[in-house]
Amino acid sequence: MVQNKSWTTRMTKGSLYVLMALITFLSLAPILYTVAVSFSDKAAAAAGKVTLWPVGFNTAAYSTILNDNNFLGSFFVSVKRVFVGGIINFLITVLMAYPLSRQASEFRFRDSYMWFIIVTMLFSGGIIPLYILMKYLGMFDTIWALVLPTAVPVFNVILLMNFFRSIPKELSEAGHIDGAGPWYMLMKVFIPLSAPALATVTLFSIVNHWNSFFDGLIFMRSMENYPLQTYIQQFVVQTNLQNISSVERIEMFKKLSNQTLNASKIVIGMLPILVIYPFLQRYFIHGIMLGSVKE
Amino acid sequence: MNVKKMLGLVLAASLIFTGCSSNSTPENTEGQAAVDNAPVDPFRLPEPVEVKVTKSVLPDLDLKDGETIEDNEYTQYVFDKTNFKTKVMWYASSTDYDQKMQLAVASNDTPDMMVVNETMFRAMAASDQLEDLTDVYEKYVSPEIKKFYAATDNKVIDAATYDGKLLALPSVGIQADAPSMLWVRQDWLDKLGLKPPTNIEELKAMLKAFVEKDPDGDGTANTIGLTGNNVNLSAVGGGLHDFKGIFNAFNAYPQTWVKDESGKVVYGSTVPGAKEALGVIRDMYKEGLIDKEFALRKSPDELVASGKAGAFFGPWWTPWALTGSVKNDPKANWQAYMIKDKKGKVNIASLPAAQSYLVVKKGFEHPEAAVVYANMYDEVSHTPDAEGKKLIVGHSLWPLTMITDYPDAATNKHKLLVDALAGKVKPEELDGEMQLVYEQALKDKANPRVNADDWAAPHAYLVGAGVLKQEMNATDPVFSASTKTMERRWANLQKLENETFFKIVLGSLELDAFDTFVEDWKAEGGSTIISEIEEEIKK
Repeated sequence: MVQNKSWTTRMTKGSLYVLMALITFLSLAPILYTVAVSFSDKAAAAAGKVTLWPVGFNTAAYSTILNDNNFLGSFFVSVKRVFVGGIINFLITVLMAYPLSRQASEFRFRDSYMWFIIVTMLFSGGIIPLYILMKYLGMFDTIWALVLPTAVPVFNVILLMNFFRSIPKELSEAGHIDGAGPWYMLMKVFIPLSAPALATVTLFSIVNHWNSFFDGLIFMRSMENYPLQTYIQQFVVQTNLQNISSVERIEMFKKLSNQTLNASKIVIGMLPILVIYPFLQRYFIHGIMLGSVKE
Repeated sequence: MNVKKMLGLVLAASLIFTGCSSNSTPENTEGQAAVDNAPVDPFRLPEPVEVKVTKSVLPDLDLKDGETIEDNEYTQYVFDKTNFKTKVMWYASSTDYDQKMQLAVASNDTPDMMVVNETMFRAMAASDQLEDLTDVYEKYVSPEIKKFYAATDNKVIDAATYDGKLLALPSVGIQADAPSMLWVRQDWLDKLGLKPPTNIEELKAMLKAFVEKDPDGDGTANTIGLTGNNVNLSAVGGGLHDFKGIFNAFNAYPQTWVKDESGKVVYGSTVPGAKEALGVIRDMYKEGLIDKEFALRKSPDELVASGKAGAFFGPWWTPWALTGSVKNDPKANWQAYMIKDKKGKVNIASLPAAQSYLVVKKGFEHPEAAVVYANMYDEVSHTPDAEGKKLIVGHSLWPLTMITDYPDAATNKHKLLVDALAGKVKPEELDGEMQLVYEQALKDKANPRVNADDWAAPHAYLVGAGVLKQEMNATDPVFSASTKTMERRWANLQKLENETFFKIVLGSLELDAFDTFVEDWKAEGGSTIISEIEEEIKK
């Protein structure tokens, strides 16, 4: 490639770099701030003296957390939820996407089936019916309340379906001639060929399960069963002072919010995703593009 | 004799009233009244009764080893005393509790007993979700609770009565939370040679000095004047870091339904005084006397804790919120003053007589358990036995918490503490809570402000509650619940109000935008709501 070295191009390039650096900084700053606070001295954090570098470096907050059973319990609930929920999501996504990627001539009710699931993506019964349903199913306080309502990730199904469709028809025709049934085709042809797409949808469902807090909040009746994000959420949300009695308020002030502790909880809360992202990101960028364009 | 007479009256009343309501069961009421004569123990249920409750706890709730939310020294005490067996249906932190509760009530998945606010109480009463407590109240209630209720002129009973039926045991609203006082750093005033402010002009002069004259003495004028918060300009109960004190000094009571001179119901945010107050706050903000970034600030407490701000409005219990400041700087000497209006009067709006409601789910078999529980809780609040003294009243581990006390309880405690410190009352005669405060006061006197935790409670009772003693011109709110139109429109109206007020203060709207706001407010449902309230009051 020939480098255009005129003055204006350089200027444009330079300012683009500055702009990108600025945007990168803006996205990184909150994370750096949280990390800095988590390693800072309590008093310095409460007085707002910490910016992007810890003030009075110490790891007291982290050792507190490692002995905090509530935190560890919630962490475990989240891990369990990601595993159980992720596996359920994966199985259902694959098993739905494959038949839906076939023509209507092969799968007679394909179109009505498709509409049926798309409707659920656009409309929902609302939260109160869901709450009542979960109550009658007796799922409060169980892991199922966290994984079953989101068992069918429609968006992921469509993504994977489009990816399956982009696999040349000739492959499945050849398979047919050689006598492969649908299961054999799926296992030996489609799944091995769709690694990027599968990694993408798996990442989606893992991140989703790891990050959601609201279902944990409404379906879990005791705080021991809260997933990690629900657990963290209650510490970082600003309390609406009008809704609590002055006795509770006074008690709250006595304890004075411990920002370093909260920050370290957030840091540990984002670690798992930070760790797996780089490994799946390769597929992620690849996969999301492949799935999006259908020939 | 008296009780029987009362019973007769209540029975007659309940017959009349239930006769009016659609789902009347007069036979039932009669049947219950017939077996009324057997004596009952108001402090103990004959058989254990399991009661399902929900709990709001602090997010970092710390339980002792081996204790659970359902089985701990509090629930155990309650069970030992009254046979009231606590079953926790669910619990959540105070940040999420409301949301969860609303969902549960909307799904009719309510606990047997709970403590709710007035709006929720009225909504549940209207949808017939609550058990009638009229009879069990008369039969079981302790004379102490009756005494406290009577001290409010029985306004709390009226508030808890719906369609002639008593549907809740109300908590008495402690009026001390109503006045918004200016908390000022006396050490800053002394350093600058200023007198504490008594009116708006003096307040402005003081803030100007705070901003310009470097009261913290670090060589740069980096302190700010008055703090504000990003939620509202004037809270209804005891709000911290708001401008309620300024509004009240113009005889305006935002977000409160009051009667004007002609006896008509008006909304406190729309009166001319509110415009005057907004004008003053707007000017103060323009002149830099108010924190420039208050509308964006997440926690103004930080400014106070770090010694950047030395003046803000708050209720009498503010010292508990000031422990951070005193810890960081033991020289911080906080004092409280009321800001007077032009005529030299201190204006406040009283709080609703009842502050919360203990309700029983309709169909619960033992409604008397609620009254027995209230009796026990009232006793442990005021005259605890040896076991009860170890427990903290108002702790979130109690199955249900309520307040039964005189409406002027804080002022009473102030007097008690002053007398005890002066040796006029023996410390042994104080109740558990005040004994603790008394001991803290002694420790703090020996080493002033060295231990912020010993400083907070005595300071709140001595200084904060001391301010309450002066004469105040109190306006009673006429209504504090919700009407039909409010249910649909209130959120929008409040948003309109809040946005307009903030914009006026921040200078992005002219002061005269207030007049447009009042017109819009009336047109978008305000007028209808006022007529609904007038009708409601006549009932």
